[in-house]
Amino acid sequence: MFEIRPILSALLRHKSSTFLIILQIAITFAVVVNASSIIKQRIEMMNRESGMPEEHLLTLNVNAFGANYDLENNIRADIELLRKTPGVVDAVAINQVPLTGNGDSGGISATQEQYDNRESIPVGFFMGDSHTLNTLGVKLIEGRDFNEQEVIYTAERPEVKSSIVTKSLADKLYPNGDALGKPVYIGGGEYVTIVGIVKKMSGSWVHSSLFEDSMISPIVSLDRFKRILIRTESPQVTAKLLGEVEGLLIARNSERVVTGVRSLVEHRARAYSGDNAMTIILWSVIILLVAITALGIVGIVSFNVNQRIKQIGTRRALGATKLDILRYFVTENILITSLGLMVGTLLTIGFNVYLVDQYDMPSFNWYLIPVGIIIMLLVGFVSVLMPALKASKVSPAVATQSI
Amino acid sequence: MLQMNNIKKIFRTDLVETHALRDFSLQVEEGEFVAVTGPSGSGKTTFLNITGMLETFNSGSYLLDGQDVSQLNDNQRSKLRNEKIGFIFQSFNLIPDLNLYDNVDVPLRYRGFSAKERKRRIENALERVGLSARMKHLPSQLSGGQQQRVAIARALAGEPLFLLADEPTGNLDSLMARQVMQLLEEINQQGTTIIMVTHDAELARRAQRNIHIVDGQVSDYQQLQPVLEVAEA
Amino acid sequence: MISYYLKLSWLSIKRTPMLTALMIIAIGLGIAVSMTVLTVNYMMDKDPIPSKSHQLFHVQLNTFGEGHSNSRTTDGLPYQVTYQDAMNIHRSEVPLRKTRSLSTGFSVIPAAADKPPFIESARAIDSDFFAMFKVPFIYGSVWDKSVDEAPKNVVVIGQALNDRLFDGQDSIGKQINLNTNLYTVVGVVGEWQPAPRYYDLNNGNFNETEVVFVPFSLLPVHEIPSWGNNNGWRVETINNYQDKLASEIMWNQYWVELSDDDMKHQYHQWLKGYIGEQKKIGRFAQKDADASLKNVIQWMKQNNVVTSDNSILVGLSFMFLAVCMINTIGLLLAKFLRRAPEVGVRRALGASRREIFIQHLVDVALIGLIGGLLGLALGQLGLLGVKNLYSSYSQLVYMDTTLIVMAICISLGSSVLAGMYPAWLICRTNPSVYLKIQ
Repeated sequence: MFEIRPILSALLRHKSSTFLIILQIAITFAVVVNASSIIKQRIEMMNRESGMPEEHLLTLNVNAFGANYDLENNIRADIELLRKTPGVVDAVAINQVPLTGNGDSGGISATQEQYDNRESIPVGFFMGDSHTLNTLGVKLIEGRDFNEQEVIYTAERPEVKSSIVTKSLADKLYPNGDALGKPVYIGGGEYVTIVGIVKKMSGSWVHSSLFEDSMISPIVSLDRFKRILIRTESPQVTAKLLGEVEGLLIARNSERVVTGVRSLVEHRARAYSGDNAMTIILWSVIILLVAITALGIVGIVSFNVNQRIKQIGTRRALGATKLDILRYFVTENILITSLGLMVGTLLTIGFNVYLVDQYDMPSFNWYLIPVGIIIMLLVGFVSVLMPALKASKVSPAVATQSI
Repeated sequence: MLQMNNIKKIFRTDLVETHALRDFSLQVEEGEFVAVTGPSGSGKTTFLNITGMLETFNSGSYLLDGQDVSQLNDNQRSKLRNEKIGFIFQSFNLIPDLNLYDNVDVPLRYRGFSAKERKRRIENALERVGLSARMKHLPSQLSGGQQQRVAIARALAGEPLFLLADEPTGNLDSLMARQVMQLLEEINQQGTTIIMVTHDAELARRAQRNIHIVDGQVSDYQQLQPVLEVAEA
Repeated sequence: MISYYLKLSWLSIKRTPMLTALMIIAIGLGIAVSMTVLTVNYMMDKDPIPSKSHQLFHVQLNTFGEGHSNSRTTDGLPYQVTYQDAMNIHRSEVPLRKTRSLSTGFSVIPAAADKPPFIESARAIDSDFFAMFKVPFIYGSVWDKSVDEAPKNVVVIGQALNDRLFDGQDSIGKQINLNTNLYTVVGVVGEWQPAPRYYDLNNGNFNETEVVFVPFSLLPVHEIPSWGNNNGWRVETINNYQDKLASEIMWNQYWVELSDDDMKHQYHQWLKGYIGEQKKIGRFAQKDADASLKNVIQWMKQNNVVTSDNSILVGLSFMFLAVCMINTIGLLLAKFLRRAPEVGVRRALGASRREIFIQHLVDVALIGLIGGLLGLALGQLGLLGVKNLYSSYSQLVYMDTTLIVMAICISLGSSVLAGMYPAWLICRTNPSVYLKIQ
């Protein structure tokens, strides 16, 4: 027994206030759906599997300044020292560390022809010794790891023969899934052979399209600025080393400065700090906006109830039960909310088209619309409940009172 | 049809107890036109509210069509009100946002009639008060007298046991008041019981039976005609 | 009359405390959210050097080979220049001032053996840099212009480093040890932190400024490494620093100060001439290879200093404000219509429509003002939150007078706008309708 038609005609008598609530709900809906879509996409991005035991990893930079500093022997000695340190699983001198936002990148391709046609695939170039995979903690799913003999220590452009790539990159180079043993062209007519494929590994730039496309080469470049990655047995050892590793390295040789001692957990937090902030801000916007709209509904309905006390009393006198009165206001509100949501759906789509067009945002999942509709209906229902309950408590005796 | 025995209604505040009705008894038979009069503060409105089941009472018994009203809960009273009583209010109490058709429809909706049945009854009722041509008008487009006739149509549409009218002409000028009174008399002659609460002795005189409430009780003497006739002359 | 209206407004606020409170909260939250977002945006977008932003130009040269371009920018041009180009175009006498620029860093080795060495970020530049970017000196001054050509181990240091090494004393003439080389301090610069750090938008838009400045001419002498980006586009064998200097790798930046359009035109012509010359030796292979001069504002835009996240948030916050205002209009309609009978009486007693209209607008303006003040207070909380979220923005995030005035104007303006329709509706209604009903 829902009095939809009479409620509608009564609403049409109050076009402006009805229109205002509809508009308010529509904009709220559009903002909520699009903001949740952005939140969802950011959370998915932040939750991407890194393929690495991040809590067990820490990194640091060694900046050598000594005039007669022997780069190769110092790097070897540092790594040896770290590998022998209790609680350390492995350590490696590496050119870039995942999630840090620093490193080397370039283009590679499956044939020289593709390379010449500039159809190369962008990748992150990792360089380290035969302990690289073990230190990163990534899983080799095909082929083999590097052996010690292949590792080249050099300050010049090295001539490498072998490389390990991520599965994601292997599939882009060789879509048939037969990348192992195949060549990869790195420019200048040179190529390396894929000797191993790694299941998953994060790159350095979390927002880049090449995030999961990396190539690892058995090179230790001899550089005055050297990054080191350490894998420990447990987060506790990681925490302990964060405080001690600088002293350890300086004690061995003091002709350098150790900087940037950080855990990968911290690097991850830094890499995603903008997304994290955006998520939190958007959440705040959603919550505040829904609260404002809910309060607005409470305000308007309370006002309407106050205005219609006499009418409610009359309805009660004419035989309406308390439930009938409650139902009247709830139905009225659901009607308005539904109209608002219809307009809102159009607005949402329009807004999203604009975002996709203007800011390269991915378009939203369609299921967010029905989910949003249910949530907004619930919000509307909860907001109308308090004033509607108040209305249902109006005594039928007010019908006989002269004002 | 309607029987009240020793009804007692007390309003309590922190400081005072007001006895609005004390040992009030009344019996109304089918087809009667009863006018209830009394000075303001006499308990007239309380009588009206209790008769219409808009308020409960403290003690005594009220049988409506054989049902003991004091035993009913709020929902049951609403239902009974809807089925048995046709309300006519002093200030009409039409819903301003609804047209005449929808206004008459209000009690029928709560009765749960089918759409067809409601349509028949609404058209019928508006026909009886002579407003079927203005079904789509809003109350604000009508004169006071016309509005009250819509209210009467609304009361009649449910085919109630009796009409309960509260000062039905109180907000009308004398011409319109007379027309509304005539309509009520016609309705009564067609067989509908009417209980009318008024402070207007002249109106009351036109009813078959007059009940005078003084101080919450039915007064012994019933007629004040001579005095009022003088006043009127 | 205004004071009478204010009194009436105050009375009406007291009569409908809940509706009024709802409106104030709505306006307050709307202002708070939009001002928080706007503050961040405004501060990022703010001209960091208003007196010279249209005279300072970042130079871009399209050295890409045929078919290559920078996929990250709309114009496809490289961000930086090669070392050889930086050296060559430095010969031009057209610009008022000019500087080559490279982000780098040093290990600073304190004289006292018990103090451990530490790393400082540094910049290799020419002597014009300080005058171009208005870097203030507290002691000494920049090295002699001749050093830009004939390298010498001289250094300008920042106040923070001077405090650390020399306890804040005048350190001119003293020596500091950078990567085991001794440099003579010729100047100490004071507080200087442009935000964004527009002179190098490749290496952290809101990073702290460097505290070590050395002559660019020292690059080949000490093989000073790049701490910023090195962008190559073709396969080159780089076996040592000399190879890098001669390569097509883009790792230097170049800024010029051009006093007017004429000079800019003249300089652009000069660069075109240079490109033509280089084409003869096989460089600048693209047919329409050109140079681009972008001033500070254009350069900030090109580098998306205001991120798309910021722009989206600005849009969202204005939608938020719109919802708050629509909400307010709805509540105002309710509030004013409740007062209709009173308006009827006032009209009957001789108040004109205009007077009724103004009375209601004063009502709204009062609510808007209170809401705006609440919004400012809540906005400070919002900014505190933003500061916690984006640590790198912390220096940016405060409301200056302009923003505070803006907040008040937005709240007053938008609430009066919101009040127009309800006020118009109420002053237009026929007074007799309400008189009759009562």
